[in-house]
Amino acid sequence: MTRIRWYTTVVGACLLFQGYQLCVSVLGDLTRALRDGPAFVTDPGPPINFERSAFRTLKPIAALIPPQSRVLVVTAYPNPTIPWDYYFAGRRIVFLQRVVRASGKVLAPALRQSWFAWCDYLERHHRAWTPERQAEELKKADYLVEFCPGLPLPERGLELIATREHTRLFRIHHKELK
Amino acid sequence: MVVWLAVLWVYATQFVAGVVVVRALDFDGSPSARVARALVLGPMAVAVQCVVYSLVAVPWNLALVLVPWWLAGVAIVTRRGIRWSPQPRSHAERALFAGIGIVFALSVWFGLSLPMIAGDAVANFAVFGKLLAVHGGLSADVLQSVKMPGHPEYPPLIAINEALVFRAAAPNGETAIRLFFSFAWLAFAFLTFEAFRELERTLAVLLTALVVATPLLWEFGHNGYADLRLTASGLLLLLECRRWLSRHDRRAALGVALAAAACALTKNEGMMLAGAALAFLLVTGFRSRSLIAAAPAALVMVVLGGLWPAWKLTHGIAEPFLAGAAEQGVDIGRVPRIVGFFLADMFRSQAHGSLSWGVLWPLGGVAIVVCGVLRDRRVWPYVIGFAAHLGVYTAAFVVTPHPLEWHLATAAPRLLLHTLPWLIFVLVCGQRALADRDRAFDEQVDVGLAGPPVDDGRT
Repeated sequence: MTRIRWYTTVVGACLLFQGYQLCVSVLGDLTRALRDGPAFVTDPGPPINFERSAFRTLKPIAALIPPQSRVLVVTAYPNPTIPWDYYFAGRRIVFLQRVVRASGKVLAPALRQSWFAWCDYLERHHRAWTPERQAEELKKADYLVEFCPGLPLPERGLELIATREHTRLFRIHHKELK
Repeated sequence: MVVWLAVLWVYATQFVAGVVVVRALDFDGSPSARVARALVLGPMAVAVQCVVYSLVAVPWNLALVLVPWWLAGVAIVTRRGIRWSPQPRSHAERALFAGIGIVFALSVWFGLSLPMIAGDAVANFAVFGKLLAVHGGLSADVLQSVKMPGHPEYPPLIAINEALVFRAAAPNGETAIRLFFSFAWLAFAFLTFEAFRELERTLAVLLTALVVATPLLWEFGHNGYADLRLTASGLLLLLECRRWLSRHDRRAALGVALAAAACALTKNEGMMLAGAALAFLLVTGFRSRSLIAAAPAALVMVVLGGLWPAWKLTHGIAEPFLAGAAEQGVDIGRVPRIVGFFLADMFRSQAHGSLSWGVLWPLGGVAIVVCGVLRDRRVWPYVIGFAAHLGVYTAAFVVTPHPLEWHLATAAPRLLLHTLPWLIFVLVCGQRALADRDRAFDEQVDVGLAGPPVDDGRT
């Protein structure tokens, strides 16, 4: 019969600790998924990196907008990890996405909130974003949230957008101000 | 229902492609080792196939991509038969595989309960997968159009395999692609067991369970990042290099080449591993006078590993990190902060966080100390490999054009994950050193108890 060595016992003890940690992680994830369902996606959780920036920025902006308003968000990056729905709960959000080439030529828009939606849009329409299109959407919107105005969008990564001075990056316009 | 059957067909084909490669190599390992190889090498083979299709202007029609692998599977099974040869398992091993199966099932279930949401997983891989699916092939214009949030210069293995799932899954693609990462976890678990198998059985089971129970691996088993797949490919590469050292034949060399290609096509960091593997293969082949076996494999490695850089170069896709690094210049003063960050991350342990290493790295440190005390030199190649690997990453942080703290926070845990294969073999060496010392001690005790030989007059 094989003798159980002391180092086997040590490894076994370490495994118990590791297994406990894994159980906590797995059960935590599964419980949240079961309890919250799709809402889990929009739960900001502990904000990290750019999500934290979005948390600090979007919350006060969203608080300025009355419920049931129709909000047009113009952004180069409607990142699905930013919980737009969570912060703008009760408001109707329309996204107009500007994806601009380095040359400055506008490539394509999206009217929904994720890159996947943009890909779908590209697949279906593949038509250029135009100022007319934005104007058309603006007519229907009560509020415009312009993400990162004034910055040359194409060469800016999200981290740059999110870590700059947020008050200048998000500009909120009431419809009457236009 | 039909959609999910199509998704299953895609995943099954990725596996069948791996089976074809493994069977063509005539790999003679255990069933779990062969399954692991199929899970790592299959997506690599499919990615190579799709890049070649793009080069010769064949669209990524699902049937055109998937059916050839099934035909190849039928052909190779008809010609060579199925090699399964299950080996007798101890109770502990059965319990281990049951545990791995349960965690894998939970990972699949959890993965399928949510669409892909993590930032880099979306911006760097999934969006490209979707774009390639929409376009039906590699296109520099399409990739360049999303270069602002993402990285079109990243190697395409993940994006191509996700693209096939997107083509099959239609509106459910964002969720269905998550399965790909659970399979990477499964491959890593099986390869970890293979690495520990040279130890005593119970110890091998305990150590495998210890490594695969790391919460950070669970997280990477469904979050959509390429890093766990690269780690699995890196572990396979290390196993294949050891196999090559034990038998200098063409198949072993080809095993090294294919594992290196899987690394190179998964992430830019994998290119570095592939380059190191190429140098290792040629140097060891030269020194053991097996260059004839190594040379064809080296050629395969260069062709497969160079496929993506060549495509990038010819299509004008630049490497922004290198350009930014050249502007940033070298700042050696960053080194203490970088090394300190890596060390702190090794000891990170969160009660409710998934980015925890648990006791893994401290245990590796103990293994190195044990080997040092017992004067076991077998551990040093792995320690040096680990130090060199982390040294390259440290150098990358020294020249990074991004804010250092941000870059460390976002990348260091993932980079540390890539070095896990070295740690696994450090643990193997530590345990082997202790076992050897015990065996020597037992033999001394046995000799002492038996006493000197007695001449009873019969000789």
